[in-house]
Amino acid sequence: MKFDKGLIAGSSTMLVLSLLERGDMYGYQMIEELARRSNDAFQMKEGTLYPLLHALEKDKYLTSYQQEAPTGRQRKYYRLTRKGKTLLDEKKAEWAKFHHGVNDVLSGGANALSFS
Amino acid sequence: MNDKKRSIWSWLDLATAGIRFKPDREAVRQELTDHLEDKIADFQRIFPDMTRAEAQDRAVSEMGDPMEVGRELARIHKPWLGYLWRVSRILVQVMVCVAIVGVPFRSNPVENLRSALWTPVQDAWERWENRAVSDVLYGDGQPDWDGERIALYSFGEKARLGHCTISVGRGALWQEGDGTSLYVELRLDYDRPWEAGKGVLFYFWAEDDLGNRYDYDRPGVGYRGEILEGIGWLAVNYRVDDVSPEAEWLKLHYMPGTDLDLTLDLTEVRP
Repeated sequence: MKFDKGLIAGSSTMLVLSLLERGDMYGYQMIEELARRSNDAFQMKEGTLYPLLHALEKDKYLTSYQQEAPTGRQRKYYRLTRKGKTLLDEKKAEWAKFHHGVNDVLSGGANALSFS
Repeated sequence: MNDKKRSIWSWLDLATAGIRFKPDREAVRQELTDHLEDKIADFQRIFPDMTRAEAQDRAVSEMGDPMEVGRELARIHKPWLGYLWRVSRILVQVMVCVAIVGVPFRSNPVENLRSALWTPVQDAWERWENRAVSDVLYGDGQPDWDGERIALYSFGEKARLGHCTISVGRGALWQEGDGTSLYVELRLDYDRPWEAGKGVLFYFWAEDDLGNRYDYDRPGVGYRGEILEGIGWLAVNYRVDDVSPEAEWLKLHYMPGTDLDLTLDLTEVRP
């Protein structure tokens, strides 16, 4: 199933940070893990992952290092920083509120119009 | 196969072309290459009948639009940050060198740095001048610049100046453009070796039989090239600018109040 690009773009940062919350990963590994956890619902264009990773690293939400991967080759691993964990928590809270609000609208709930 | 392989490199080229700082560009390219290699290996593992070329082609197609990826990467990897980091590293190294070299001897680090940068240039220039003047005095008269030697001399004059003896060796009249210059070898031998110093070289002046005066400066009278030094002696090449070709003699003087009278006969030309 193909999702609206806007939906994916808005949640990419949260998804990437969430992947790294459970452990350090390299780029290709993240793509594979994202597809696995979402049952292939999320299959982003893989090249677009790297600008996102580099931007997060530049803003100190991630750090990186070189390490031998299970394949036996050197790969660039990413790690979530404390600042990145804080951002992830904020994103999750934001998503939860958004998700709740959308559900209320769809179900015709009494507080559906309140987004504040 | 070449077409398929070229598609990977084309994708990588397009995706990284906008990253202008070379170390960043190479690092990002390597990371994307690693990703593609893993993707290709997985395709061939999952689909054993897939050829390497087919796996490469499919891997590239799943990477997305290289132009779009390239635009985003270029936006993030600004070159000025990379160059700033590199320049700052070089500056730190230079400052450390200046501090190590300069602090023990002089208190002005800016002057130390200026001297450290200028001195090699000056030394190289003086060595070149020495070789050039040697060509004028000893060579075939055809050094690496325009002009022509019109006369060669073996002066051999000596004179006393205070506590040292000045000797004049070879000389040459050199014509360049509209001007004629006289080059001479000068040597100063000090009775008291500890008195030898370069300061003496700045106070010579000359006059010729036509009434022309040549003061110390450029143009005028001045030394050219390196000053050779030994214990109690100096040797240097002097040049007198704009000497009249009609002059029959040139008299070398020292600062007022001194008694130097060294006359160079410009009519006795060396064959």
